[in-house]
Amino acid sequence: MAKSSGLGWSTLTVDDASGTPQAIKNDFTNLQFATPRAVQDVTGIDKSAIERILLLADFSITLNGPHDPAANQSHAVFSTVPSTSVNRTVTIVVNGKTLANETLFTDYPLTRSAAGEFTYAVPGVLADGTVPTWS
Amino acid sequence: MALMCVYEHGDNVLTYDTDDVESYEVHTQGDVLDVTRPEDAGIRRELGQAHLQLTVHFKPGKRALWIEKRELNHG
Repeated sequence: MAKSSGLGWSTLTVDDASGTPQAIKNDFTNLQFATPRAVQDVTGIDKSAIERILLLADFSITLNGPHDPAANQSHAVFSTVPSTSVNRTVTIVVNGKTLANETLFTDYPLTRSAAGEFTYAVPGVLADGTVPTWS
Repeated sequence: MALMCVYEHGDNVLTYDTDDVESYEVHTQGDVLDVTRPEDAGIRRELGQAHLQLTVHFKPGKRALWIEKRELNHG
């Protein structure tokens, strides 16, 4: 596969509070996710440039979209974020590549703007210590 | 106009007029605890306490007002 866009997004499922994956990609207008690694500075006193080694892996995601109170859609999935403490599988498939992570969602913020939009930007972070791995 | 009471302290109440509001933000955020184990190669987390936060953005020149409770009752 050659250089590709994010058009025609294949899969984005998020577990609801009972652990059922909900395919709600149409609810999201945009998203950001990252797989950063911590680093440790191990520069020796004999060096004139920084030496580093990699430490723990991490994953974070923010899912953005308009409020959707329909059954099994985004409000049904995220409205339980403040009242439950469960790991949720987030599965991303784009351009034939898959990334699935156990995720803790930490907020369900809703904003009603002056223009009338009623939107959310739900942040999630890696939950279970498993290295995020694309397949 | 609808007078909203958001906080009560002693004989006073913090109020605002909904006509003065430009937008609202509601957060239902949870604390996150890092519980990564020595054997983990990625971060392990658990959720802690949950918090509710309402932010009211006022129109230019508008603000919330403290009034006495008895004023509210007479109003």
